[in-house]
Amino acid sequence: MNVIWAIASVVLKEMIRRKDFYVLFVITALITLVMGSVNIFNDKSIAGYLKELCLLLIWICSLVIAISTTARQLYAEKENRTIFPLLAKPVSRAQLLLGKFLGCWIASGLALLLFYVFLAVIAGSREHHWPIGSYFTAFVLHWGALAVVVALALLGSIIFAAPSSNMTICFIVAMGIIWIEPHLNTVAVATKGVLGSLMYAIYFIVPRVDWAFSIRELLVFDNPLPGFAVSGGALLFYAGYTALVLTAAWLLFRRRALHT
Amino acid sequence: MRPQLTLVLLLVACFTVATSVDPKLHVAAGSDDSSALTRFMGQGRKLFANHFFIRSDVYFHSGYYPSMFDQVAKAENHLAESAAAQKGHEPAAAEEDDHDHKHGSNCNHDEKEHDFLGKPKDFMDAFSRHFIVSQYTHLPEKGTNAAREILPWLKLAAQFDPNKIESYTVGAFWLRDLGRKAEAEAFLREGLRKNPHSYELMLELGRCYFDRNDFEHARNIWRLAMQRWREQENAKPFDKQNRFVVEQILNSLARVEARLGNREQAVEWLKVVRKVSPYPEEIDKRIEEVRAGQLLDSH
Repeated sequence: MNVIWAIASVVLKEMIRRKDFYVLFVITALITLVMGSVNIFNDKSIAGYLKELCLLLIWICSLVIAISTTARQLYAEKENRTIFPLLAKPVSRAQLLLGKFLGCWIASGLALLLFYVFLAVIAGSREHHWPIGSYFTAFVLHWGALAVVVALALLGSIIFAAPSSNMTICFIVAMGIIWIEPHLNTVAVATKGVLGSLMYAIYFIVPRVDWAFSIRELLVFDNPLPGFAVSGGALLFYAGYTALVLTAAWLLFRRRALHT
Repeated sequence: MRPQLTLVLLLVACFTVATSVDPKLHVAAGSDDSSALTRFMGQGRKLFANHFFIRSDVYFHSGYYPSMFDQVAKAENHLAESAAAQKGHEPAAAEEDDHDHKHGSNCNHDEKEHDFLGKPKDFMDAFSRHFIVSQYTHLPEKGTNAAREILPWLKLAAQFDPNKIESYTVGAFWLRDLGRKAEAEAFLREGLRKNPHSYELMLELGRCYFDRNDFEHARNIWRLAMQRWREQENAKPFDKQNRFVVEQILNSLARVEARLGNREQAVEWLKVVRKVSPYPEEIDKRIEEVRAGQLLDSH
């Protein structure tokens, strides 16, 4: 566990040194504050549109941070040739993968926490109430969904030849899941036939990142968020899916030649 | 030739062609709207305006709203139902109303529309419904001021497409409903500056005047609205005319004349309403009320 944590802490330090997060946070804050300064019929307590915009930006930024941080990890180790002394420590390939995963996931979580604190402050300053429990549930589910995204990006960095292609494909897959997955069963039922059955199969196979994404609407419209059991079920699903993807990544990585 | 030089040449060529073509296109389009949004987005801004207008409706329904996938599935089901009904010579399911109403207290969606989600298709679908808005509520039910959340989207829709009259009329309706009469009037004036011939905006503006007991101004603007309606709608075939709005203009004119004590004039307007109204017996009752000295405020 110490080895895994050591690798993860290196990834964390790397994210603190890089400027990606700071740039994305400043852009999100700037856009939200500019939109917040717009005069909507002299009413300063309208918050729905601001929460919606801010949550959308948080989702985009979190996906960019998670995917871009994860996708370049193994490539960078290979390109700098630091992977050889690292594996000679001795560090197993499974530990390397787990360390990279943990580092990227925690780094994404820390960035996400700051984004959610910003959201809570902005929304609270307008609405004058602080549903901390709702924000916490949304944050935890969002972070859980990011675990699946990070694991997929790690798997992609073993399959695809370059970080750019991995990032692009991971981003398209994540956006596709978020946008199409909740409706795939409706489309499958309407399509019928072999194609419909195929769509239904995909509907059950694909990870439900959209659950965490949909929470946005519940927050925007001040609806009650899912309870402990439902949120726990979703987190269990994310954990299981992450474990599955990481296992697949390890199976591919353990016999992969490391020369670039 | 160097690729950089080719790119620069292409850019210069594009710029030259654009400076030559753009003014001609502008004249051909017959538009005098030269706002930054129009220059930047062209007619594409109307798509965004429609999206923002629909977004206001989503907010009105507190997020419980069919996605485009649900709408396609619903349309397919509807077609199948109609086909089955025709085959069996049975009446098809009741046609649903268009969704372009103002969602006032008399909002009347039918049960089928409320239940666009239907029963869960599978266990995954059932579980997913914990994460989405799956109950039908209207935003105003959440509190007296909750409807204000609709307003930014209507303002945005009006900014993106100043010729989309509904953005102004629906926005003004909600502003008046929230007691923000000055803002409603200013918003309608802004719309009227951009659409000076719109009788719908004149009707709404007249309501603002009426609400603040400025009956003379209300009468003037409703008369102007009636004139504009005649200019724009009389030439159209009977079934294409906007009779819903003209009935409201005429009723408003009757109401304001009754308020000003001109009972005979009020009765005259109501007689015109009687010709276009699908409920003439209801109008007869109103005529009797005016003759008896009542003010028609409940209509």
